[in-house]
Amino acid sequence: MISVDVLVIGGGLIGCATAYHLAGAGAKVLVVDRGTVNGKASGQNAGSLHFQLEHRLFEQGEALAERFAAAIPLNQMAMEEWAGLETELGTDLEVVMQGGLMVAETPDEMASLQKKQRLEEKWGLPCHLVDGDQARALAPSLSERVIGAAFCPCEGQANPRLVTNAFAQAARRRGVDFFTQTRIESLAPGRYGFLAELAGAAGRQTVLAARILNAAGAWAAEVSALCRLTLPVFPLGLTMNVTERTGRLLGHLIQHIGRRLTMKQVQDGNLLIGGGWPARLPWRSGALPAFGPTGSAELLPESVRGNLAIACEIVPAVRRLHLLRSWTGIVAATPDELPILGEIVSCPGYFVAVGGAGFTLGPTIGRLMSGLMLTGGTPLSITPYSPARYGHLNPAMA
Amino acid sequence: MQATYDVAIVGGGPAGMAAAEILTAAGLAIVLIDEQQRLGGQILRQPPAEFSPSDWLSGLGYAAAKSLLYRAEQLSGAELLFGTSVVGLFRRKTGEGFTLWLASAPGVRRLAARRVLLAPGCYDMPAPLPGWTLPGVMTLGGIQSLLKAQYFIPGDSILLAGTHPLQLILAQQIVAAGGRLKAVLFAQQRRAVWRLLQDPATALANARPLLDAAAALRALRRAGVAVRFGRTVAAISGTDRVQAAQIAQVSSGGQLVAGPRETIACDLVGLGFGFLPQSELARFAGAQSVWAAPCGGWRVCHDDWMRSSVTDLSVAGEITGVAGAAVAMLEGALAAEGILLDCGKRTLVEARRHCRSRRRRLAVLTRFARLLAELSSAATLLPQLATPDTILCRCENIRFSALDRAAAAELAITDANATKLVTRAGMGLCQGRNCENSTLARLAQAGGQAPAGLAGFTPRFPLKPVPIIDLIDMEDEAEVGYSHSKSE
Amino acid sequence: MRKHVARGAPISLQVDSKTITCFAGESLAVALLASGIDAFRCDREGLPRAPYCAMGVCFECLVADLARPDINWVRACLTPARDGQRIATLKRNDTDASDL
Repeated sequence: MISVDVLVIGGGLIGCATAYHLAGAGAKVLVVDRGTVNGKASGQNAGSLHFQLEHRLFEQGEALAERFAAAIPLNQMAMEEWAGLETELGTDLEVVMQGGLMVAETPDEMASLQKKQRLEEKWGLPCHLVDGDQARALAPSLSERVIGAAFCPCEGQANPRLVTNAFAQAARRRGVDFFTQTRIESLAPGRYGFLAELAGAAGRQTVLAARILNAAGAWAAEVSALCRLTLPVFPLGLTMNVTERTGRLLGHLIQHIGRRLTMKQVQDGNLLIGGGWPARLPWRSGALPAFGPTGSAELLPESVRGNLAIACEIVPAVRRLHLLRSWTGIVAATPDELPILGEIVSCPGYFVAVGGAGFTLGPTIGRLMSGLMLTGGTPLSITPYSPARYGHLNPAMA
Repeated sequence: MQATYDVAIVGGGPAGMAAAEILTAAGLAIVLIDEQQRLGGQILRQPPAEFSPSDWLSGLGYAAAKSLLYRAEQLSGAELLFGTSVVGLFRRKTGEGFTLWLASAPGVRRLAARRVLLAPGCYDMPAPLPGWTLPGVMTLGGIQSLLKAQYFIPGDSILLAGTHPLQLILAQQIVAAGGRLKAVLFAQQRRAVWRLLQDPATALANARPLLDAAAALRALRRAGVAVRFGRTVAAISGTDRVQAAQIAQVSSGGQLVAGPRETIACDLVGLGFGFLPQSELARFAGAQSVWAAPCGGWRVCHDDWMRSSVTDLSVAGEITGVAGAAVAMLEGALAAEGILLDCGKRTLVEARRHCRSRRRRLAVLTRFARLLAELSSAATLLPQLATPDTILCRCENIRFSALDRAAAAELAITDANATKLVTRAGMGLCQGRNCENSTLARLAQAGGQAPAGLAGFTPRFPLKPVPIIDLIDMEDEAEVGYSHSKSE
Repeated sequence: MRKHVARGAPISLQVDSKTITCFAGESLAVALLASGIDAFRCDREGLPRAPYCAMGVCFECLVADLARPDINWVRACLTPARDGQRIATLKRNDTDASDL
């Protein structure tokens, strides 16, 4: 039997980053993943570092937007985290933080940018409005359709293929063990801690863990069910597109206030185009949607077309390029779009870290969760994200 | 949505043509799609319609295939789409069948088919070695296509090197065309090549092209062309194009022999190390495939009627295992009979009767194909030719050393997709076609396991790079069952 | 070298600043190779590249067809040459290919 301080479920960015920090504070950690490290959303996303309030947060109306603005302090911490991450982990992660432009094409969209900017100002997020010409002075490849933008100087990108692996390798060096291709067959709290039965390529293992971290992303609800806990985490299928390499067109992260678009150009010259276009989830037959999909989300070619059409309207030079590849990923969505971070009151020792903007906030969440699990405190209040807001779903341990 | 076809055939080579002939005769509405400008596939790469050749592929070995080609060009009931790539294959959400996404010079469009037969053929085994990206280095198949179809030889001083007996056929064709051939190199020992040419399986198979190879060997001797065994190209050099090749000896055990290398001046090198099935589209559609030992690549699994593991999706020809035109023609016919069986246009008794002699012939040819694969496999030699500094991924200029570093990293990488994410090998325009095999071989070596146990690159949409403008300018036909995303 | 066969009508095209002649029905790849053009493009390190597979799989033979300014390259081995066509090789550093 293996005895650890923390069993981390999920070898994605949040799991690996938390494991890294936990080990740094002296904890004995085991990370378990039923696939590979960085195998799912952590490695499939667009690599955006976005700190402005996103378009999707406004889709649900202004009242909710106020709530999302409460996440801004987390974003500010994330800015600092990313600025220092390559030094911290000692490796190139292709971090670029030259700024992001959230563009508007219509007067209504400009008005939304202004509202957004007021909220952000209230919370101290550095971001200011520019007009169309100023936007094009910053990013010459933007089309004339852009009449203004919100510029956030710290936004940018990093390479998701590198980041989680870097955390994992650094965690390894600190003594963290990784069991990949390993499933958790059972998990139950007991007198001496949580008892987990694992099954994987190396055979069966029993693990005794003082604490659990559920960092299983889109599968967090499936994992929480092992302990008869209900987590309102739902899988969302998203689409990403990448073009062939081309000459330098963009130095900034481009987002759109009113349409589904994000664009960036990676170091090698390819353009990554996304923005929340749906992919179709494969439901396991006979299972309720809430209990997680298997496999990958199916590509909807119409999502590809729709996404590319907007990209070409905002950066016309894209029209000459070839689409190289489209793929899908499954992310974790919570009902209020905010992450769930914290301990489940009705199951002491069981911690959750899932949802929200997983890539941008991942390293920050890792640091915060580690502090929370070991000391009970965090430098920044994360009470707004506590699972307690869904406490009514888990009234008592079964 | 355009009219729905009964069957869409992807590939106008021997397998596709054989199927088209049978299916149209049974009255089905067929569409046949090929990237080339005319029918024939690679083995029967035809000259342009503007040429008037009198001697195209005049060898006896091509007679049956040519006869099929002439019949196929007369078919009615089949719509032929040339210069067209299939970039997507999706099961329809309403009704039955598939939607195919097609890209050609005019643009991208979709068509619907109740059933699909994939027969896209094979492509030359990439042979990464120092200098292989120089202008003037081509595949054996590439040089042969240019000669066969365009009556053009892209070099004045030619060296062929590899393991496949097709080298002898091409060599003779080059000499007959007036080209200057310096040498033909076989990595195998002479007796291994002779064994293949003399084997009863070869004679039984009546594999005329290979019997032609024996004649070719004699003809080359008479023409003074050096055919050498136990030799391979180990490096190619030149400034702006090929200027010379360094030759190394290969032992009878298939090992590269260390020692001084011989230099041969040349301006065109043809590499003939075998072929890989072009199975990406089948795998994208979810068809089960297995590693095609010993040479490599993923061949698609099928039942007795050439049905893949995906309902209404059949396969035929080289993607079921590289085995030549004669096998491809037979498999195309079997696939067609299987489709007719599924449509209710044949009873089981009829279909069996039509296929009885075909299956017997197929068994004979398959034995020969296996022998050929075994004796021409470059699986042991190719990994020895790549040095750490050799380019692994031609598209992105990623060297083998990058892959070696990734494989040796603490969290060891065990499948090609993970490697691709870290090294970028496979992220270029060819979408991994020219580096997947080498990547798997190298990972297998590093991990001490067989390539068959590793996962390859996951095929993604689009199956070939597509101009974005063509995607955007597509006709906006409403596809029932797709939900349109919100857009302003 | 071209092997003897009765070919189609002779046609001419513009490749970069050079006028070349070839025959109706030939692919752009053959037209360029036959006129002595060894390299069609440059790779990421500025090294010359030319057709490798001649069947559309390797994506080495990329050239720009200037009649289609909205597409930055075509595969020369799969594209028939047309009389009067204006072609540009992609011989500057590959990443500038779209700036033609």
